[in-house]
Amino acid sequence: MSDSKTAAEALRPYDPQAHGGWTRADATHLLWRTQYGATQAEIEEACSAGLQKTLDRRVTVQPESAKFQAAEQLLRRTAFDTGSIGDLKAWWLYRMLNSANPLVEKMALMWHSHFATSNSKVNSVPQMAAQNDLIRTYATGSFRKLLHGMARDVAMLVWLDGTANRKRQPNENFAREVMELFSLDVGHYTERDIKEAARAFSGWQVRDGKFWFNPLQHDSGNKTVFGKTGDFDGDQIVDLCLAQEACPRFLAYKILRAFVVGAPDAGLIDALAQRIRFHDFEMTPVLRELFGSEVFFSPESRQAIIKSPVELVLGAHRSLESHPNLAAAVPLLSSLGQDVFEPPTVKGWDGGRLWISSTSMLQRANFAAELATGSRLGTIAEPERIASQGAFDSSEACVRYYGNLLLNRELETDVVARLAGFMNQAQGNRDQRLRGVIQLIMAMPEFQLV
Amino acid sequence: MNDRVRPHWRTVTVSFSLGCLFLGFLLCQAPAATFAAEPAAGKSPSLAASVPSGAVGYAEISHMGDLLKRIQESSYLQTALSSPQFQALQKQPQYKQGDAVRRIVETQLGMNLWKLFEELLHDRVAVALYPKAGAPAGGPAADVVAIVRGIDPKALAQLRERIDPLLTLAQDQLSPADPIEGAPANTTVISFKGQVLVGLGESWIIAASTRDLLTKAVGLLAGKGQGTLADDGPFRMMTEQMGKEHLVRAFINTEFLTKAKGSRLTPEKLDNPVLSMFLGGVIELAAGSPYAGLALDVEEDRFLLTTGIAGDSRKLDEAHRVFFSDPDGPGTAAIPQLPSIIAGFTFHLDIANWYKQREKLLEARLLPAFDQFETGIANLLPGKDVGEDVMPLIGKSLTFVAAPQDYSHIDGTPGVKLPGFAVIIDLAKPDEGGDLFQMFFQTFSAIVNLGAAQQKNQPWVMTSETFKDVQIAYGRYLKRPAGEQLPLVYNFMPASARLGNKFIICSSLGTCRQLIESLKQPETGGQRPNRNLNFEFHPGALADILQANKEVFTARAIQQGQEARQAEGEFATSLQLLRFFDSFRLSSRVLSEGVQVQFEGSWK
Repeated sequence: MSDSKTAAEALRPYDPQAHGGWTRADATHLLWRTQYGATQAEIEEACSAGLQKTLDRRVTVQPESAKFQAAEQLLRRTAFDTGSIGDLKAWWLYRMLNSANPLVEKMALMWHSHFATSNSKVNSVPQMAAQNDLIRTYATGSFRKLLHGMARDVAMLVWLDGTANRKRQPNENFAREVMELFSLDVGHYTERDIKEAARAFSGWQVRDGKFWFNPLQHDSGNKTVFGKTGDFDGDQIVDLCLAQEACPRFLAYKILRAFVVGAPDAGLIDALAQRIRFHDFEMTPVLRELFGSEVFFSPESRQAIIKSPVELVLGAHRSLESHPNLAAAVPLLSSLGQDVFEPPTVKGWDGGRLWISSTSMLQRANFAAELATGSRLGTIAEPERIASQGAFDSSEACVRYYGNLLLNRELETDVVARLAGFMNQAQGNRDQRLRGVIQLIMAMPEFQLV
Repeated sequence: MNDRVRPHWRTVTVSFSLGCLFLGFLLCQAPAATFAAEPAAGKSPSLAASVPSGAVGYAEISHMGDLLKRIQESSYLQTALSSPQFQALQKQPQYKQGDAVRRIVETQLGMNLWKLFEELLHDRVAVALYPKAGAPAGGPAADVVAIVRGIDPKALAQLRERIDPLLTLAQDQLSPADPIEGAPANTTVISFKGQVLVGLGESWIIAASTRDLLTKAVGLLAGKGQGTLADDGPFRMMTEQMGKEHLVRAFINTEFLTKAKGSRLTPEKLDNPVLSMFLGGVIELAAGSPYAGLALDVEEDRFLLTTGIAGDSRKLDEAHRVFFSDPDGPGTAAIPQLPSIIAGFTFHLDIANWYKQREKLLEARLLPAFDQFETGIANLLPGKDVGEDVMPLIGKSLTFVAAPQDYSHIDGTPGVKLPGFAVIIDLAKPDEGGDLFQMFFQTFSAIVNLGAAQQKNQPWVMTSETFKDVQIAYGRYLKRPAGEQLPLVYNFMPASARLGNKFIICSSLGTCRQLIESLKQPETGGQRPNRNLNFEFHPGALADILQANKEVFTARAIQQGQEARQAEGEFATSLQLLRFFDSFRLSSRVLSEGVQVQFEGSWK
């Protein structure tokens, strides 16, 4: 982030006209950050619609098509019928890829990592699905309501041993994570705050698969939390956490890391935190301001985030208009390090540079090869058909098309020349050679960035 | 053994028998004209009388032309060709290439391939393999002669006319050969690369890999010459035991192959205990059989594929007699006829003696696993020996069934509906055996209950009821499950019962009740033919279960990238194809002179 810009300036609305007009690169950047990948048709539509319409379309909840609803409900019912978490994962991936509200799904994934809960301990498809529904309901809505809901969520209570929290033996696990992981971050509470908060959450149990308040196990005495004393219950502890200055800053940091830049500076965090507090934790206006801001479209924010495995896999499927094999995508994502519904720790996925290692780079390259040239992971739209429809009259034209589509940038001349040379000399028919080019582009380091 | 005669017996046996079996199974999949068991008046004799003696392998197809016509016109084929699966196959590059070749060939021949094969297979077709004397390393494994007889002379003439231009193009590889002495007039002989000789008569074609074979076959076909396969001892034995008129029949001279190899063809000990239990006896008997035969018959609404070997099971050693029932008796227990039964499997095995003889029957590396098994059982039965105290309690029949269940044990249905499963164990000592298996059942239920809580499932409470004077022990759920999309685990509510000398273990109480009703019925239909092993499968009942779980299959297809409509279409077609068939049966029969394994099926 440039030192010369103030945080307030950074959140000023972006004026495309002041930057040479609304470009394809701008449209692609906005689409990539608010959904997973983008097809050529979506990019062209966003180009012609302009910033405001595209932004409105993304942050406003759209009605789902009948076809989507029928398939989504069928997949969800199957997950419940089989009791298989793999089926539930496939259901959610289907939603991420096909929903008319992909930003909701992206935010839901961010919150899923934020409120990390793993089926490995919960061991219940209905409970994990219920938590996912709760997250989705408030994904782009009220964080206040989301946090309150999560405090009573059955899967969360099982995950953090909330059910073992008794009046005479308070379990601090849940109280600690509410402060450290869900609202304030490390360093903004004391150990005494945690102990007192644990007393407030006592008696919050699960009975017959539902949240149950057990008054006999609840410590109804006075507690002192954040310097305030009262006969607090769990809901009031949540309100106290939300009232702390650290809370919106913590959320701002998470949102900026997920959608703008990998290492946001303190000024930008403060600026966004002010907006979060101003809107009382309502995410829709915050996201609208953020996605329409100078900082979002600044050069420093372009291709500044390392793709998570979900972003990599689903983004590639969408951009290449593939019919994905979601059943194969589930174990693939697990091997790449992002197994939805089974985050590795209570902290979720740290992301960023931690997505990249020598092993994961090899796996990402293998994914690119398999998707471009195989059929196990899905069948991409035939490159030969696309090249014919686009009337690409040379190998260079084909290379530039896919370079733009997959990297959102103009490839350097020598890179184009080398890829075109490969396409001209490689064996196989034109479709096979084009797939080879796609594979090579997806293996480039630039493809790992969004 | 003559070192000059050294056929590659393994290649010959495996490839030939696999080819015959594959051909047999392929031809099973179609409705057909009616064929009588004995040749009708006017039917031509078998080509075994036209093939020189000494064949190691032989296959014959009889009167296939009408069958092919029926296949072409069948509703089953039309359904398969209009299915979404076939339409997807048609888009594959390999299919397109194959179809292009087909159209080129048909254009050149002036007839479609169905018609071509109807003409060629109108009467009989036979192939025979002979050991190749002095074969160089890496050379062909055997000599071959193939005969197509009874082709319509006009059709053959048209075919020759159409093929002539292609033969001209290949003239560097094809050349006229010397005429065959004694051959009928107008017989043409062509040599292909000097390796295959083809004789073309007015209504027959003979191809052979040596001139000697071609000369003999031409002579025998014309009614001259002596020494035919039909006269060979093992082939005659097969004909006596399996009959001579079949749509397809195949023969392997295992007596010759055994001598050529210098040792038995089948292993003395097996490396798979399950294979041993089901087929150990047949494999042992096959080692001494002079032939292995196969026969396929197709009628209007059924087919029967039979494989046979010769030998008296009663003369085997003690270790191998355990596999066989008395040929004069019914053999294994009958499969209980439950309503809408999906499948049943029952087999005869003197398991107590099989267990005692395991060192003679199984490879040594498998034996430590049995020691571990005994140690495990000993934890439940201290002071007892599995071989001496447990196995002798078990009788000689074991039965498995799968049938739809009624879900009377829950208020609602699971989201995924599974059939009920059951095992019926014949008990040699009903009282002791019954107690032992009841103890195993209780132990199993307790172990499962420990896991149930971790899985957030209802545990079982062991209880019992009396049904038709039979005491049933079963585990009911602590809280009766209710709802329409219950978890998969609620398909199961294990039940056990002892009925006379049979111990029943079922996955659900409803299935147990159905079994008790069925087993209490006396067997009808007179004495059954002997069956040593019997597997029955009813595709229609399976289709019903699959239909009940249609949503799961459609969801799986969507997960794999299909559109919902396409997935539903493919699923519906698959069920339609399944429902075309009535039933299938795979069984083995012990005869006084041999063993036959039969695969039969019927359709609507």
